[in-house]
Amino acid sequence: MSKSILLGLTRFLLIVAVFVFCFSCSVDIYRGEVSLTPPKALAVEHQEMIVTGEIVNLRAGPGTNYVKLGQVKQGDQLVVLKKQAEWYQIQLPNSEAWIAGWLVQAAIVDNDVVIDNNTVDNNIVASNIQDSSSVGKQLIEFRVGQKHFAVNDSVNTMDVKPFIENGRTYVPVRFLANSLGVENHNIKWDAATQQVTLILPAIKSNSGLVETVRLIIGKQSIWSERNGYTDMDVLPVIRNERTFLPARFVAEAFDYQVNWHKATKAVLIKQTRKLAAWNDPVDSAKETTAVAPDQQLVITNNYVNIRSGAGLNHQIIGQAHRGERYPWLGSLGQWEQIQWQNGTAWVFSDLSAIETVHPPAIIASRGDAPREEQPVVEKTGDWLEQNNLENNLADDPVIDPVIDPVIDPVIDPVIDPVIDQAVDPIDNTGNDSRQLTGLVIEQVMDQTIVIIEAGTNIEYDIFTLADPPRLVIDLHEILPGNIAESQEVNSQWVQRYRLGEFNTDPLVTRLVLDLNEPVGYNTISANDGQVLNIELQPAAPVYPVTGYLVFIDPGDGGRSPGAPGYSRSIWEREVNLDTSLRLAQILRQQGAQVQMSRSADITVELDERVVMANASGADIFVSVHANANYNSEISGIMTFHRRQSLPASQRLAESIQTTMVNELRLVDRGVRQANFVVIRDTVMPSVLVEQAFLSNPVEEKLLADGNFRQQVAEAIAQGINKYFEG
Amino acid sequence: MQKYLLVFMLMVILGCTTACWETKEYQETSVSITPNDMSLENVVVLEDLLDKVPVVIYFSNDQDYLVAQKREILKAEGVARVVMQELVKGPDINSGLLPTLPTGTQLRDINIRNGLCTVDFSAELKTNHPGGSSWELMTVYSIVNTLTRFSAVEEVQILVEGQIVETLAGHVDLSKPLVRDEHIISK
Repeated sequence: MSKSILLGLTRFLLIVAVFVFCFSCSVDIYRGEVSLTPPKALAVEHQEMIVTGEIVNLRAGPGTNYVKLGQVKQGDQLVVLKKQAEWYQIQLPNSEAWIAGWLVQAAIVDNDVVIDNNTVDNNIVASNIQDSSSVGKQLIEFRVGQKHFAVNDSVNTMDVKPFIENGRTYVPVRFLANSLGVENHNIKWDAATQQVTLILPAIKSNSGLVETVRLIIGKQSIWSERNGYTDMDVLPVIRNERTFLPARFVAEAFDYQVNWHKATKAVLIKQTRKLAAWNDPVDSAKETTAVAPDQQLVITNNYVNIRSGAGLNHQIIGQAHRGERYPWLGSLGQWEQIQWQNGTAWVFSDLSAIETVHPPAIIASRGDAPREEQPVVEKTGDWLEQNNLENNLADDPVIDPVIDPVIDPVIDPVIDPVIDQAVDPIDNTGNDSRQLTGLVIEQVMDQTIVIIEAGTNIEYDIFTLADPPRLVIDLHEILPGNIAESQEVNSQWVQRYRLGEFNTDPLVTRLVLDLNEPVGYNTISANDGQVLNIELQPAAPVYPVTGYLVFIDPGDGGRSPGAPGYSRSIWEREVNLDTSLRLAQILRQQGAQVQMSRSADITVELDERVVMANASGADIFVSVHANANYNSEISGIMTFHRRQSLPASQRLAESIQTTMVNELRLVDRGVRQANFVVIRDTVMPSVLVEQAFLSNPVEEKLLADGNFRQQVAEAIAQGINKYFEG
Repeated sequence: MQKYLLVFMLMVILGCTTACWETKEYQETSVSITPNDMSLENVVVLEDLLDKVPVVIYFSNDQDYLVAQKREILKAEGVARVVMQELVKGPDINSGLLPTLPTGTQLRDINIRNGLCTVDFSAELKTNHPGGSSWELMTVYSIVNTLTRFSAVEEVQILVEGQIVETLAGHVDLSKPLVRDEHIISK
């Protein structure tokens, strides 16, 4: 009892300390940095900008090497005259000055948003719409009773309509998930447990980490990595053999903001990517010595140690947590140097990510697809332009404020009832509309995007063929039109396309893409189904562990140092922790959920570890240790499962032991049985891995090397994947 | 004559035991007899004269399995105590086996009651333990398996400085009595 009070008190003090630290940082003066990017003119003239930094310097020129003219405060509004690199020139009453572009943000024009507190969705937060600390990234709108929905600037169509029940809007799972950024292969349905699992990849999530959300049909709670179990006031349901989810709860579980607009019965979902301002004051003497002005190190785990030097042997001088950002100074091996308080410090690179920070205005411009900057392989029609023109006809000011009209005024996701009326998939009056009117194949980042446009609703089948790899799209009741029959494409994935009438009765036009290698693809219908987008992307490596919850238990820690290294240069507790954090990172990247008994050098009793693991409901338990022996010649890898364990525990142990021995090429000391507390009392399949022998001088050196620990983590992850593969 | 020697011998053992309890400084090893220990002449004489009993003590091999080593000790009271002292001493030098108890470990007390053997070691059992799960298994089960060779012992409770400890090196639960583990013995 007293132990738990002590633990609670410690946590409370830690939280208070972190809070005080963050607060004390945030009131410091933010500074600009020297920009290395070449000047680039962008249409930002006369835009209003809001200052997002606490106190921001105004300077005589576009760089921190220029003289300070004054300061502005958070929330101040400024009119931009021009932009140079990452700096904005702004208008002062009698003069001009320059301000760092990453400390301001395009002002959002707040129109007359009608929010009714008696609406069916009763917990609307009007203030969400204007949030100067965030920028819109993904904007989604579903309307009750309408098959159309909008994602950013494109209007898409569902085969069923969202409906309201018990005051909540339900949207079919696939369309809701897709629009939130969850791709089809990341939507998992377990018929046995009636469980829906949605996995949002790291690149699309707010946190920059893989986010997972689970719901069970008929259960009034939603599980997310972010919030754990949250009660809902409604249930996920199946209607006409389709799964519908309450849009609000799913979106919020992924950290989207949700608003209800009563007049149009619209659910507005907005993703906000928080652009944390520099929370680290930079000494003025160092202002001009910064290497990369626009690069920050984002911490990707909690309880990440900040060290005085690039190595585990250096002193811990602080801790950082997920999402925190620090000016990045450079790398040394596995370590990243950051600016830390009044000096520099080091962070382990796998627990962090380097991020290039653009001014908010650029990030907000058009979702994730910087099309304008990509080489266009072939383009026969600018469907986007046309699409936007049509959408512009709809003039519904209510939804406008969510998007920043200044940045991209043509984007307007409003669905106009007029378009709704015009939906008429088959034009019986003539064949003209049954023709392809456009075919575009372009490369955007690592995706090849195929855009097929027709005068009518496109009914299609899509499938792949192997040897040679091809992607086939059969277009029903559509003629090839004036599109060239065949053309070389030579994009990353597509060599050429071939197009022709495949069948006359019924009419089928077949489009064949000859591929360089097998690909994955997503299809998105837009513009009332008259536009079909196909995104070709690397065939996603399938990790069997995706969607499972792995509990990692780094052995020892805090008062329990574990075994010392042969030369006493390292102790077991730090080796266990580091390998475990690496393992967690790898598994999360592979789509697994991970919980840990500790993610810092703290004391956790053996029975506490068991309680945590059993409460987590994890699918497997992996305790990570390093071995020791009286005889320093003894070396190698062992994996334990408990005596008379579940057959699954033995299989997991064998799988991990085999991959570790194969990958690390150390002595195989075999899979063994032992009733160690953590594997004896945990209820799921559980193992205890002994990475190598700290008491062996050669293996001590290996264990002290981050590269080796990475290999260990990768080998364990591989073993875990093999286990889930079955 | 033999009878007197035996009585004298028992008194010596008893005396030493008492001394040990009083001073906590362990002296008994001087009278335990092993085939290798030829330094005490009178013991050699005793060895010829007294009844001896074979016992089995487990040490670790380099594969982290226990291996039985046979020794002969005097047939006398406190045989459990003597085998624990043999365990403390370590394996025969040329056996290729490894000691299982940390250096400096001393036996403090041992008693057997209703099938439960409670064996108490000095603090070194924990503080000098080099750690490592497999080595911890060797330490714990060399004690448990050696003691459970006696039919009177079903379970073994290991104490350190008279206290129950949760674990020696962070893996094996010592808060409760342990039973024999045959799987850990080399086949």
